[in-house]
Amino acid sequence: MRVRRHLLELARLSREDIVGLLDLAESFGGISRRPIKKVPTLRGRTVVNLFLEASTRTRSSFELAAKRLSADTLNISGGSSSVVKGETLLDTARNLAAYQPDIIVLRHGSAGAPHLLAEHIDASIVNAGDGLHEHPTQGLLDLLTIRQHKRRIEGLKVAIIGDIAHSRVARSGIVGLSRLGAEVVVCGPPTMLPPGIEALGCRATPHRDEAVSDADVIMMLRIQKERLAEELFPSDREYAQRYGLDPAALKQAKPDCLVMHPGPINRGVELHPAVADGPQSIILDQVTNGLSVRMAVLYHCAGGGEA
Amino acid sequence: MGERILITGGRLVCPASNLDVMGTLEIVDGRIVGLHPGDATPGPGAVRLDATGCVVAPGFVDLHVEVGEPGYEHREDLQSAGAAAARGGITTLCAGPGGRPPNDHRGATEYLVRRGREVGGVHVRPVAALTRGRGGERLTDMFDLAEGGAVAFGDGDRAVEDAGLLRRALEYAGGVGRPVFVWPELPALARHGVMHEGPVATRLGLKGVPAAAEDAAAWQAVVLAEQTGARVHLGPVSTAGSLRALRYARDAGLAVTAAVGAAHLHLTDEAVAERYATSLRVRPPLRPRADVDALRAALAEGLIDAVTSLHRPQSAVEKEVEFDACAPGMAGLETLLGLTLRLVDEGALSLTRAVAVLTAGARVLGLDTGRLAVDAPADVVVFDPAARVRVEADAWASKARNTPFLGQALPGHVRWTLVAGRVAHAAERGEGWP
Repeated sequence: MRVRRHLLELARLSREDIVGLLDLAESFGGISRRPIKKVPTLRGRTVVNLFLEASTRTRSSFELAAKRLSADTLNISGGSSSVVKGETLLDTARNLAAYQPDIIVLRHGSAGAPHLLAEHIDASIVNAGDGLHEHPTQGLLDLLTIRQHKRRIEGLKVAIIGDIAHSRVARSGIVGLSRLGAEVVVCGPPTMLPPGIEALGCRATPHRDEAVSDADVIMMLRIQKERLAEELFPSDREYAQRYGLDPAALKQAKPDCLVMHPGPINRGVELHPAVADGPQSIILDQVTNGLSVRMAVLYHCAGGGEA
Repeated sequence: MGERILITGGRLVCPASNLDVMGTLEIVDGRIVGLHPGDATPGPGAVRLDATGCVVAPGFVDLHVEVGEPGYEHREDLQSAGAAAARGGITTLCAGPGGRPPNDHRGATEYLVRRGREVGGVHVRPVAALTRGRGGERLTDMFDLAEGGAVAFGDGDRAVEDAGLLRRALEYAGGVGRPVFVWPELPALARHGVMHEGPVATRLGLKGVPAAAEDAAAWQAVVLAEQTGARVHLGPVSTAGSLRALRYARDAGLAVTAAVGAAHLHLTDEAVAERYATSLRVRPPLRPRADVDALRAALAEGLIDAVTSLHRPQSAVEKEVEFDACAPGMAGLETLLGLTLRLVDEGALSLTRAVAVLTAGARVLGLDTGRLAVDAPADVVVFDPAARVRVEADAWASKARNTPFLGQALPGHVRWTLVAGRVAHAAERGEGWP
């Protein structure tokens, strides 16, 4: 089994690795602005998108990224758990590996599922979100978007607000941002701030105003209504008032503060419509950059840039 | 006079009778008939086992073992579990109630005892269910189960959620004269957790079981032991908080004992981070270093009575899946001695104390074993504490391979295991072997 390049988590990447991928993504961004949005870079390569947890955005983005690089794609979606499917994840992956794909992009509800595949399957594994663990391409696209608007990451104050405990976006965000020198503050009700989150490279506070104050960037996280049943918060109404981002709260940030959200948005809950659609919102830039980042990651994992 | 076995030249170690002397152990008809200090070898014996350089100790008593039978024979059965136990120097294993069907009726208990005797090679002592179907709602027929051979009652790794029922169960079991094994975990706090709740779980994105789930249950059990006067065995414990409850129980003179899993004395939650290895998903979960250090100190000091293998065999079907989808448990019968002696190597325990914690289960259960004394049953292990044995899957008698210790060299080589004077495991033949 030859050595494969995987992207399992940002936590395993150095600052230089991350900057390298961002630069690469930047260069791929040009392709999507051309009339002919396709290059032959990965012609003859096969990318399997194995999405065993519901996803529209990330799956579409990976699919389009592969196609713009001329790779052949195979999309497989299904229920997440081995038990439900009646076939184990490894068996599914071994079957796919029999087609000799170069890359398997995995979205899965269990943290560590991409690591399991990387250990047993002869293909490059790209983590497209594993349980509550990481969503590395989301982390990279957030970094790229911030860098494009602010021209730097280092020294910026970035607030991440929402259900930190149940967010892989937050984990990849904290790791990536702190590795590139940003000051990261995470915020949510204490029920949503997991123990020891600071060790990933951030401060934690239950007070929104403290997080927002003088921020250069605010990343809002989607609040899942299911968490109501777990008593993580008492009501939508109180959440919106205390942890949502409305124009008044945004005023406490720096005047040129960027507002980000990984989508899909709960309008009126974590994000006031006026903020979501306001001039400081760069949510759609995130989507565009997602494509560039995923092209860069596929190129990198397929061995691009290797002598 | 029946079969006579002499174990010569070894270091006889028996913490229960305060014995630590070089000498010869003499066994006739399954019982110990003589302990002869010094070189004096009494007469010619039918079988002579040369224990030079070895420790001769009471056979180990393992309080928490899943034998796989009935119902999970693809993981383990009484034959393989018994052989694995004997290889590990264990002469008595307590079979947990979690078979399919569960051991909540006399027929099941008697089956385990009888089948254990027929194929297991070691003493199989069932811990029968405390509640029917381990359902936590109605008590089992405890007198009947005790007559069938149950040495204790408990619902295995299922905590009894209803504190009122637990209280009644403790009272009733007191009348039967058997201890109750309490699994210290409050389900309402532990729900969905797959590892210890803390910075490592947060980093890995895995749901955590807070230490409070165990601490609160341990305190509840201790308080109920005080209320009822019942014999309560807390097992397995894994948190510093449980130790505070145990200290209270000891100071109050309560009949509370405790056991700790051997792996929990070595591994921390940080180990999971390396690659989400499913062999590390266990219940209770692996804890941080501070808890591990506290457990070691408590074991040395006597606050924790016994070390257990916490043997929970799983097949590849249960383990070659995602971490949060895998079945919890680690196989441990064949690493129990090695992991305990590793504590001796690391200076955490004396050798005498190591033997004591491996045999204390006899005292917890009130069994007539776990000691080297004239007239005691000849449940004996002879091991070389200096030898190192690599953990190799192919060498195991257990069907299970779910251990994170594969490839590691652990101290302690079991030369012979005798169960009621019968050789249950022999790494080599003795002189005059029939």
